Amino acid sequence: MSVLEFTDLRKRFGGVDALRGVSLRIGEGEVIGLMGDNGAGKSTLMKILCGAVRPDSGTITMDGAPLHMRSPRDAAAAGIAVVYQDLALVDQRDVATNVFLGQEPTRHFVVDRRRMRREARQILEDLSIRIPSVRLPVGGLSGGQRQCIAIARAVHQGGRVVLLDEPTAALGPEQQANVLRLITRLRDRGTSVVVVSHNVDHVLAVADRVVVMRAGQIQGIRDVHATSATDVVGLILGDAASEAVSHMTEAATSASAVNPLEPSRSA
Amino acid sequence: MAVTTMTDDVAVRDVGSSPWRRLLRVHEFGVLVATAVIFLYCALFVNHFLTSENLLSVAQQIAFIGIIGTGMTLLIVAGEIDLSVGSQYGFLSVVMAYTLTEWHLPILVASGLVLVLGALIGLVFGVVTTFFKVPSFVVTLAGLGILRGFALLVTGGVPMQGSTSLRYHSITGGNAIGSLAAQTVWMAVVMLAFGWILSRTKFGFDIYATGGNMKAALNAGIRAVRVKIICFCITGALCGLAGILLVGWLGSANPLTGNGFELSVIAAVVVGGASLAGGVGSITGTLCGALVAGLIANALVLLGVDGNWQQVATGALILAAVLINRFIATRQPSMR
Repeated sequence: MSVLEFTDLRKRFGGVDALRGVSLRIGEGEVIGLMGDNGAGKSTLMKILCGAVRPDSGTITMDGAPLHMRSPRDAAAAGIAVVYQDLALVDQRDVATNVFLGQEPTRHFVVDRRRMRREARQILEDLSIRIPSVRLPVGGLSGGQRQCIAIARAVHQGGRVVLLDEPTAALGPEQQANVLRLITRLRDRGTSVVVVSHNVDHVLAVADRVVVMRAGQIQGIRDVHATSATDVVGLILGDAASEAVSHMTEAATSASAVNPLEPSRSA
Repeated sequence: MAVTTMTDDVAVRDVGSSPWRRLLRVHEFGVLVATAVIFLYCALFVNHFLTSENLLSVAQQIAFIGIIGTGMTLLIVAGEIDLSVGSQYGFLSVVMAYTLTEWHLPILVASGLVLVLGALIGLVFGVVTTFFKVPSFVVTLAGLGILRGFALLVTGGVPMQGSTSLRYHSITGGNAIGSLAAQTVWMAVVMLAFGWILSRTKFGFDIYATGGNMKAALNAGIRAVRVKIICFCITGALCGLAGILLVGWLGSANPLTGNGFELSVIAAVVVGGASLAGGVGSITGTLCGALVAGLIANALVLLGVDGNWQQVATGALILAAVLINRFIATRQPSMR
């Protein structure tokens, strides 16, 4: 049963084809590792899925029903939550406030802080996120803890499909492990996760399927159990190596051409 | 992935630490200590300080700083600033007097008009700041000049007669109980109301989120632009309230009212622990900030110190308070 499905998504920016027909089905509780070189179209795809960018053509369906998103607000309402690194938390506020940011429980206009702290603790415990106190300002927490709090909020605020953009970048190994464990816990709860990452090891550790993009298209989809890091890296680079070689031979055989590896004479 | 982390052993301590340690952590700590120390010093070494008459007069002197400082606190927490509050205060005082004497409006109607006009001025600043992305520092610096100019134009540069209504005078400038000034009561009402709004309500939480990290607030679905504009409007309306109180109290309006007042107001807010970067600050802190400045000025007068030293003392106070806050901030427990 697929939760989120998109078919033939296309997007042009000026003269650049950022997406050239991308289709995928994401199942319930499935973790997708989205990989690809810079400029492969990952960010554009993520921006379309979270409602920040509208595709030129193509359809998105959630639970089989077509989804038309005009803004990130629509995406959030549909159950698609995106976690941006460092754009999610208010450093000066405590953990509980950040988990409930923008959706604090109120009673007669007054924020019910006791309930908020209690429920925040419950949410963190359900996801086995270790934070000494929900009263601490998040600015004093580690990068891994902050990432986990941001993810907890996305899940708590109704995210059934959570998009994570480089969740392990700029974290220490221990914190990376914490974040990766949180992702597997989300999967166990039936939440679908799309992880954009450059780290093959991390993707292979948590993902069910690896989707590799290249030049605005899906280059290949691999089941993690039936692939290897070398295979995935090969997909990411594509025929880059062989292309480069053929380009060089082409250049060498063409009499007028300048060798791309040599500095230009006119420069 | 068999990594055991240190964080796994951390005990859950949501109930919070001891009151003393919690006190050390609050941003108002510096100003609370300063208030206590200055108060104790004055009580012990300054004659005539510890009389109810004197203390109530200090409370009266800080009333206008407190009222306008309340709006400024909301704005600074929301990550903006209003440099024009002195001019708004002066301009709106003049408008109050003008509508009473030239248009012969009833006092209540004139007051309503002034409050609405104040909110509208705030609305203009807020819209220009948020939609045209001009820093509020610049927008309100322009406003400072424009509104002062209008105040002088309306009155022709000379003080203007206000109302002679005794009732208006007693509500705004009389004594509430004993020698407790009406202005002090107005300040208390304003600060209690907005202190509650800022620290307890959803709107208050939105203000902190907006000032702390605007992008995060927007991502979380908070209408941060609207929050900022409302804070500008509240500040404008409170400047109007201060103008209404002043005209009732003095019976006239001087177009130079509030010249340089923005500095005293911002000083009170910053001394009270607010961060000009946004996201930090409180009404309690601002009250203490205003109180410290008021106490120092009062003590210097009682000690017979040259009035010019007051300026020096106020400046030194701002610096000291900010340094203490910085010291506290760097000692915040990180508990990684």
